Amino acid sequence: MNTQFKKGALELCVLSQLTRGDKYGYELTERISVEMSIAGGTLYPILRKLKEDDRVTTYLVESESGPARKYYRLTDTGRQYQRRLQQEWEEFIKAVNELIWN
Amino acid sequence: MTKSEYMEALQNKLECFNRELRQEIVEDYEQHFAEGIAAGKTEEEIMTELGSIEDMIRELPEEDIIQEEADAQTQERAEKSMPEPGRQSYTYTGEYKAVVIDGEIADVRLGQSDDGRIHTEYTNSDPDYCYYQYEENGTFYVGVKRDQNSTRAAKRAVKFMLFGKTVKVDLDSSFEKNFRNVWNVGGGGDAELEIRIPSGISRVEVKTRNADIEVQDVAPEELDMRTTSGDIAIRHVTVDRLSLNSTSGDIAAEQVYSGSMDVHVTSGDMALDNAETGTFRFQGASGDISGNHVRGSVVTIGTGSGDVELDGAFERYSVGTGSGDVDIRVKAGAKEVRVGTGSGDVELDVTEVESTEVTVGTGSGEAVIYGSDMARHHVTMGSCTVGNGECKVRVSTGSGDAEVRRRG
Repeated sequence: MNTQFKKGALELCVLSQLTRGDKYGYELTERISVEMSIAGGTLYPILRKLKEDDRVTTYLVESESGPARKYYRLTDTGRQYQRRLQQEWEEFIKAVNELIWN
Repeated sequence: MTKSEYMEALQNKLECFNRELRQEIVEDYEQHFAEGIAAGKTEEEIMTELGSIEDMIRELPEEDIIQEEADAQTQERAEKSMPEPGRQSYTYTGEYKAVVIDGEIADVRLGQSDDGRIHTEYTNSDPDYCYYQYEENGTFYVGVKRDQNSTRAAKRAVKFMLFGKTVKVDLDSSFEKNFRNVWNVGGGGDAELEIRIPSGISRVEVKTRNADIEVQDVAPEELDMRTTSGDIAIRHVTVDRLSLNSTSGDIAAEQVYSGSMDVHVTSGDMALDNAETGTFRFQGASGDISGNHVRGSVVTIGTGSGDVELDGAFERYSVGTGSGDVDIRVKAGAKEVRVGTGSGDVELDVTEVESTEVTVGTGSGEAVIYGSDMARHHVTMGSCTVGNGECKVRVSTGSGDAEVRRRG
């Protein structure tokens, strides 16, 4: 798959997961890798980019498993961005399906 | 791979990114490992999940690469911490059967020690390189290598465009090793490694990359020298077996006494003066070979475009070139002389040999045999034989001209 395409899709997956509540990195990679095969490490650059673009904020929570967990929370612009991406995605899927079936 | 190896690889791969990014990604990975372990996974499983570091690196924004800046910083640090041209001297006591010297970028000077011990002296102002010495199975190893701790030796990355995409390449040591010569970068230039060895060592090996080798007054059984672009100079050496290898460096040898001498050069020239060797084999591509006052039993010379000039006493001569010219003065006592060239010209003087049988042949060149009695035998496209003496002389050329002078 085109990596740019996959990267865009992954970004949407991450953002969409975050609409269901704050999550930390490991949790996100675990959740996503249930559905698709990815190199978990590639999520971290994506998360970093989202933070730099103010689409998410982070906060630390002490954890028993070791270093503090870094949670990601969607910002308002992040939420808008997620909706826009989701809409683009649905239109895209619709177009592809159209071409597959008809 | 263990977790610490994986994390080390991660750190290395991130080296060309800014500090803040580096730190964050490393923390993210540490956190990931901690969570995975807490969830009962093995390090192995977690690494598999995280996947290839390169894949992750590709997702990082190009803007965060600070290669030029980082280089400038390390450069500055290196200059500040540059030591004064230092000199280190060491003495080693022990019985060694072999000595292996790798000067890498340092000129090597090898000589004789009088007190039965090995003495080394290293002078260098290049902070990227350091002196090393160790022993293994009776062999004494000494040399100069890239200093892993050197700031400038730290891993660097270059970016370049490929198929419209930006590609990052780590300049690790093997990469540098392969391309350093091509780019002709690095190399201290003023680094020098001087070694003195006692007699009784049977094998000595000396190599350098772009630095010169000078060997004098030693007598091991076996002496092997190789360099990429440095020059080799040998003086007053007695050995059973001598082997010389050079890519582009020149070789000068005088007062060499050797059971056998094998020389391989690519573009370097060789000059041999006052030498005695059982067999002398020379193989060159474009380099010239000249030998004066050389004695031995068998000489074999092959070159591509290099010229051959030989004034020496051997029993058997065998010389072949492609386009190189050949000029040989054969001494009394020769039994067989064979010379062949493609387009090279041949001048052969066998007047010192008592009785000869000379055959010359040429494709499109001009071949002439001159006798001392002013007789002149001439041939084009074909061959002719003069005399029926003991020493057989055969000269053949493709398009080159040949001139042979004989007695009678």
